[in-house]
Amino acid sequence: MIKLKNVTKKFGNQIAVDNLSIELKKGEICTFVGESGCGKSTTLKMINRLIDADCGHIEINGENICNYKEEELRRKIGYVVQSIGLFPHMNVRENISIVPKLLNWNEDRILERVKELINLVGLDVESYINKYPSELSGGEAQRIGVARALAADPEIILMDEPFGAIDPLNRGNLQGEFLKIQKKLKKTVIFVTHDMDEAMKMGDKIAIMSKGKLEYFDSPERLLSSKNKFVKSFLGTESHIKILARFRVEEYMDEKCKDRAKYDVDINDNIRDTLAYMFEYGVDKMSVVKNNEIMGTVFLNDIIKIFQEG
Amino acid sequence: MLKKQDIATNLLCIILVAILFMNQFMFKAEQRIGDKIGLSAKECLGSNYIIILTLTFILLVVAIIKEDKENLNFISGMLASICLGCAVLFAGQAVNVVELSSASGRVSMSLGCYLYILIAYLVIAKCNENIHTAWKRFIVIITGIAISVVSAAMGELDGLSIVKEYIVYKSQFYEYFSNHLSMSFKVVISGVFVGIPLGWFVYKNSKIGKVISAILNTIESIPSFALICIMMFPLSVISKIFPILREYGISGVGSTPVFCALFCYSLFQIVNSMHGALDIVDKEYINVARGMGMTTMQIFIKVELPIILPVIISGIRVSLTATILGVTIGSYIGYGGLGKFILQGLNGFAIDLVMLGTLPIMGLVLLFDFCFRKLIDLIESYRKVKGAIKI
Repeated sequence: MIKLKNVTKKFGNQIAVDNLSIELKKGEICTFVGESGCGKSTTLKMINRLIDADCGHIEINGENICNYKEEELRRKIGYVVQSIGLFPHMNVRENISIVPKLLNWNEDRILERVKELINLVGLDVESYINKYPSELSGGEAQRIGVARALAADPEIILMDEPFGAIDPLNRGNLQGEFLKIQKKLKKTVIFVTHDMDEAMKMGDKIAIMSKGKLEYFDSPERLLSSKNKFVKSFLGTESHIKILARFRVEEYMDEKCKDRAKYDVDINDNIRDTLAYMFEYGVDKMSVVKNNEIMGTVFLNDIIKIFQEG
Repeated sequence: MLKKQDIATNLLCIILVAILFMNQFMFKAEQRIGDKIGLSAKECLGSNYIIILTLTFILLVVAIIKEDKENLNFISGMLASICLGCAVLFAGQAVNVVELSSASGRVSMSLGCYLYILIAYLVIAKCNENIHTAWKRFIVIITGIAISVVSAAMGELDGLSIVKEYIVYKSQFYEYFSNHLSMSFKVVISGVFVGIPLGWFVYKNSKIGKVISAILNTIESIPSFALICIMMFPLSVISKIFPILREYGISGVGSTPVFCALFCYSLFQIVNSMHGALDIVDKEYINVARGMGMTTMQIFIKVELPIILPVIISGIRVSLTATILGVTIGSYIGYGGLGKFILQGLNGFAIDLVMLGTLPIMGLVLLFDFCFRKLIDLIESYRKVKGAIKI
């Protein structure tokens, strides 16, 4: 779907992106994570040609992006930035209609699409369609920002620290909702963030960059077994626990053992939370329940094994 | 009780009362050009003096008790407005009271009377701040103006020296007035048409932009009177070399150098306000607009211009105000604007002729200032509703 081949970008003498090659499959979310100035945003902007690469080339669906007209390329790619990106002089409807208008859709089709999208991002059409960005909370504005990027139904969406300016509680909700939307729409998403938690939660693939170089590119689960020194130091020890949030209890329970333990955990919980419960209650096993029925037992020893197996 | 005192209005009303006890409310001169003898309000208003004094006293009392109550503010606003109108009317009737030895003698408003009118206007403005109904504010403002205009129309003011001057110079007055206005508009409209694209260009191309900015900055630092005179030299040389230009009215004196000089100032102001306005547009908007596939032109028209419009209009307002004042100076090199009256008046020590030039200029400045402010308000409120649709 998206293919970057030996892409290099320099600003003066400073190398922002160094010989980067990466390939993304359709329908995947790839999170780019790294310290500020590591080249993750630059990489994103090279894909919609806000910045042109010095060397190497970028392909979308096998077509070199330099073969497109800049503006036409960008209209095919959704673009989300921090909540400030909504234009203050346009209301929600006008903000969402921008790209469809640039593509000369007719008015009725645009309006239908706007209503559909406001619904999709979980807001009420009637009360939001005529609001101005100044009347929206940070979370609402960001939902509209996502709706705007989806407006012309692009295959690819680029998100540049989209939830960076939002308080942690709302950010968690937005991440969850975006993943739900993504399940339905199956877009190819590039998601830049500096927050490792967010990167691990959102990404089917994680790309970790440092000083313009790609240090890691694989699934978040595999991070644990990475031998790369930079990746290890970047993750820190805490990340091993954070990553457990991606594993579900269901996958690691012992189905044969159905004796009721002292405490229960829901089958949909993740391993990280389970571990926290175990420490809180001071136990080394918990019953896994689904609608009050015991499905199996999860043991502390099995959780510890996850790390060793990687 | 009386907690929310409007100190400013109270002070203004006290000054209003004080003016009525001061000398120099009006003055008389036995000849058009000659010694001026100051008169207090009591000396020149006759029986009207009691009326205006009473009205002003009542105004003071109401002003003290009004606080921020809308109805009392309306009453005190109306009183101030009536006081303003009466000051004009009674000044006009003063000619019947003041004894003059010869027919060519003059009675004229003096510092006190002008001050009285100005301060009454300020009181009206202060009261209007606390009146929240638009039509009430309008009535408060219009009453004073209506009394003045009706008195003028009925010939009540004919005795005033300034009106006498007006009657003498009537045809010239309209000529100068329209010259003044058309020159101001020509300058500002050309300034807008050149300045807005130029300002945008200066902002986007920092290298050439800096040069243009530096040139405009240098020109701005030249005093306007000097610049108009400086403009005369190259223009007269050019018109000598290309005589055909003279047929189009381009020459070293009169309107051309005035236009050129003021155009430069206007350009400076508009380019500068354009530059400053574009500077405050968050770069993230431009980045996003580009990222969504807008062309440079679309970004300017759909994103930048709407965001900066109020700032630009405010820049045009400042430019128009400065230009109206600037055209006055053009009269020194022979341009027939309202400045001519000021010049003639100064040469002949005829203060009323000076006022005949000054008052309309002040009026124009205040009028356009008001209109532009309203325009900005209108744009802001239009913005709130323009995108709304019914579901």
